[in-house]
Amino acid sequence: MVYLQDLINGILHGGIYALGALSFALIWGVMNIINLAHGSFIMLGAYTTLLLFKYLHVDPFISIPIVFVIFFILGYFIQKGVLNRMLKASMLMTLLITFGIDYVLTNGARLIFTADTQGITTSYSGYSFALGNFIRLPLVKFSALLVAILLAFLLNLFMNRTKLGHQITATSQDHEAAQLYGVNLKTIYAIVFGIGIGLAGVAGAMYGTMFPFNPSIGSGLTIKTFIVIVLGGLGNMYGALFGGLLLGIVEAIASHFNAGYADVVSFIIFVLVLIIRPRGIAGKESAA
Amino acid sequence: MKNTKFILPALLLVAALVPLLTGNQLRLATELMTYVVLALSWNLIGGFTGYATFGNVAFFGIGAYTAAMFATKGLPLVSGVLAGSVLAGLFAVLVGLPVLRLKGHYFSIATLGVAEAIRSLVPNLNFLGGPNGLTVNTTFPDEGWYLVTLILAIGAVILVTYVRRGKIGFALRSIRDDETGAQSMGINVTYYKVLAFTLSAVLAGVVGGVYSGFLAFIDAPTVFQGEVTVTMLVMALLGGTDTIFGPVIGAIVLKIIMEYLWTNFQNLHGLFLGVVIILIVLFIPKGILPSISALWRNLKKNAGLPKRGVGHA
Repeated sequence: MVYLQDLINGILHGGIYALGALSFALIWGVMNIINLAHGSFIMLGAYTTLLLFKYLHVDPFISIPIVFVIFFILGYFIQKGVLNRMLKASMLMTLLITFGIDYVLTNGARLIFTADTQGITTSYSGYSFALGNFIRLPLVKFSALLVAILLAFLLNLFMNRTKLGHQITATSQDHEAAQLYGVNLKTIYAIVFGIGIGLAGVAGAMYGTMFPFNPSIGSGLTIKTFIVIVLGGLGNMYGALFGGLLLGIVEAIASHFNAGYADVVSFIIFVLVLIIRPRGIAGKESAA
Repeated sequence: MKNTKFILPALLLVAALVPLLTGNQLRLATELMTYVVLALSWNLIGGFTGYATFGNVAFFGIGAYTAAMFATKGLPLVSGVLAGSVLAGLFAVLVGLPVLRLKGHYFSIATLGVAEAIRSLVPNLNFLGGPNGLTVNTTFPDEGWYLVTLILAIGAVILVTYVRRGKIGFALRSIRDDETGAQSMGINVTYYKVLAFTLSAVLAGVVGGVYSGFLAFIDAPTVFQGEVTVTMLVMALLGGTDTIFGPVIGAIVLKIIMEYLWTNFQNLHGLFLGVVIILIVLFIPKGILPSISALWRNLKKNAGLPKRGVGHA
């Protein structure tokens, strides 16, 4: 029964990883940018939600659209102002500039919010449903998972059913051909980065309701996000969901034995998957 | 590469400065020399071979922990440093064989994953002191540590020069530019990639071992922190990865910038470092050394042909 509870916690945590990974994969897939600052945007999302909650008394779940808009604008202008200058740069340079952004965000947050660990505690934070006699389903974590699934669904709808979505897909498949058909590459990139960072902000809002956080959580989250993509495979939405749930479950079970080993186990699985099956467990054979 | 003739004597000149340096400056100089070696070691695999590792701190930490373990068992630190570099090299072979099959982002993040896994594993291992780390008792003076790291830096320059100019350097460059092509020309790419990775690891392991003695106390957050990898990487890029002395110059420049930021704006220092990284990537992506030599060539060309405009690089 204890294991079943771990399994449920793992699935619930996995939703957040999936949401982070989904936005990370969008940026990676369309622009071939590995955004090393991704985890720090998630961290900032948590702080933004905290500020909205503390000073304006906005419920964390109500603040999701607000956070999305703020982070969309932030991402849009980072792409316009900085990353669009690097379209022809080498992979290492792109990695490095996102790393520089990560450094600025982490250290900036440390200056503004101090290095102290904080959390978002609502009136319903401690509430959970009972399933049977032993298993409990925490309300906040369950709602966060539902939000993650809903957003994945909306993103899928946006990519497949709207003109802008089609333009983004076309750009990711062949940016030169897309340009010939009248797509403005730099604007599309800015929108994609905006959506990606917007979703990262929302992932942060959810993270903030579930876990305590501080300015240093960013780099760890970036690596986990990458692990999720590696597990699930790049290039399809369900891969991110699958990878996220898998990582959540692995971590929950490993930390059942020793909390210190949770990270180690997920890193080892990650490196093994990379070596044995670089396209990801659920990735398509032709995806790389 | 004419500058070789100038830089070795210059390094020897730096050695002669020892008596002039006071306590804190001496420690800074020792750290600088440590980072010169680390930047050179990163450049072997990340620059020459084009495999941008984000996990070289693992080798540094392995060197540091092995040396510290030897010291706590009462064995001389020298033997620990040697054992640490051998262990780092062996670990590089073990990890390199599978991981060097990956390319681009995948390689970078896999090395990052390996380093992070070790960082979170070590505090859980009781025989390595657990979360309390290890203490190294030495009576070696600060001047001694400085000279040791200086000698290591000179040794690293010689090693890198040898690698770069010989057959190995040729193989590594061909792997960086076109790995499939290199393979079809009969170059054993696996051998050379693992060789470069191992040499890089051995260099990092040696300075790691010396650093543990210099610090006298080590723990996992200090010697396995990701920031060490990033610092050596940025130093190599700042100076210029396609050169022998780029990492040396990059290490000196970045260390001065970091020291300045640290003493003058302690709280803002991390923020500024991030801005510095962004500015380097945007404005001198090829590094200082190639930019200077390009400027120099331009000036010479324009001096000879005065009627042509400046700046047509």
